[in-house]
Amino acid sequence: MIPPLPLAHGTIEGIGDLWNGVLHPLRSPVQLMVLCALALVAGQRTKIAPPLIAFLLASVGGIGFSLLGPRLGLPEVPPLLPCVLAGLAGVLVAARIPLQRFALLSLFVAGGFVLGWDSGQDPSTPWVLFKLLLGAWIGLAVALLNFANYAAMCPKRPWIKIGFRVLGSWVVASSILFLAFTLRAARSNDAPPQTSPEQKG
Amino acid sequence: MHHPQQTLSNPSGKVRSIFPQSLKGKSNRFELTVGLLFLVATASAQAHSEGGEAGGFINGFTHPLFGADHIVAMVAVGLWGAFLGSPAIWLLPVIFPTVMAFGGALGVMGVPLPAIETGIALSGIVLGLMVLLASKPPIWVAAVLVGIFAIFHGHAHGTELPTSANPMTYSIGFVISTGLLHLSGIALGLLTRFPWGIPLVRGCGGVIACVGLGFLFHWF
Repeated sequence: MIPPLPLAHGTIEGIGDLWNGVLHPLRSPVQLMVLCALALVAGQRTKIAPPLIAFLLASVGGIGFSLLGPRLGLPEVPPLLPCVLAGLAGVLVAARIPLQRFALLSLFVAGGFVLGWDSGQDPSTPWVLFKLLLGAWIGLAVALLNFANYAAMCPKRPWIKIGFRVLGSWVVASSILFLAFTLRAARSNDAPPQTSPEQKG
Repeated sequence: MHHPQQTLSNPSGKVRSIFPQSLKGKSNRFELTVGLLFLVATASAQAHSEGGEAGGFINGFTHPLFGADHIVAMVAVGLWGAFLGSPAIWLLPVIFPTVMAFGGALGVMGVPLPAIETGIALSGIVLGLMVLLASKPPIWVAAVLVGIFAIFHGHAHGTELPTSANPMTYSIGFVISTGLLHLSGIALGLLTRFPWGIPLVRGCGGVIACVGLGFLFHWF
């Protein structure tokens, strides 16, 4: 079992639970990377609405899973999963690989579910939890819709297409490095504790 | 019919520009430019402490910029790509960060790679010479060459990760910094459209090769 990297961040004081939830996707580098990658994939399609709707619906399911998962004894989201999704989306953008409708929708459903699952919180009361999760869903929706819309609005010029490819390669590169960091952390956790000579004696 | 902009002082309801009619066609562009200048001319908020995600990103972003050997090689990739034209102009800046990340992963995982500094110095020499000599090999040769050197650069970045940095934002920072160096090389390489640009760009290749030689023989 690969443990997650210690990337958890605290809430921002003074802005309320709802806004903390809204800002959660933007404060998580991995979630931001997935959102950017999926937005670039969607922005290159002529019809961007279906994948975005699929993402939004799936993210609700993911958030629900994050609520029920601990009670059913299910594990937290594996840290490699968002990383793999971002890398896959980055490859699609960098190589300009056109996806068929079913594959595209599957990608966005998987992305929405994983990011919703990754938005789980540990609050004190159910009302606070509701506000945090509602805010997280709103944050995911606003971020993805905006990024995808801006990507779709870009003129279809050669240098802009090149720029998209370059952005896709950046996402792939960042995903590979994140994968390496995660595996290194797992390896250091699995290593047996080193005993000092005094302890051995 | 009542116009929403109608007032006593503006009975026609038309929204007027602050510029006279003679500049009407240019007023929108001028206003947009001034607005953008105000946006970018704001004083940077320097009263902050670097830590957490911000510190990791800044560390990663500035890491390639503190090494002249990294800078010249990455600019050379963009220069050579612009020199070779399509598809190399986008293929090389796409391949380099991706393969560099593999090299970075090797460095992070502690996989040893021999002669890292020599490989980095050679990248400046070889890529600089490619531009100086206006060499146009097949695209796959250029891609393989760039990929090989990218592994050395990535490995160096991966092993030099500061322990206090947030690894995710550090990696995003140095990937973006690398990409921006490529773009600056491409921008410089596009000067070859002009007659005087070709010797200038090739001269830059010569300078890059000399810098690479300097690092190879430890002149710097």
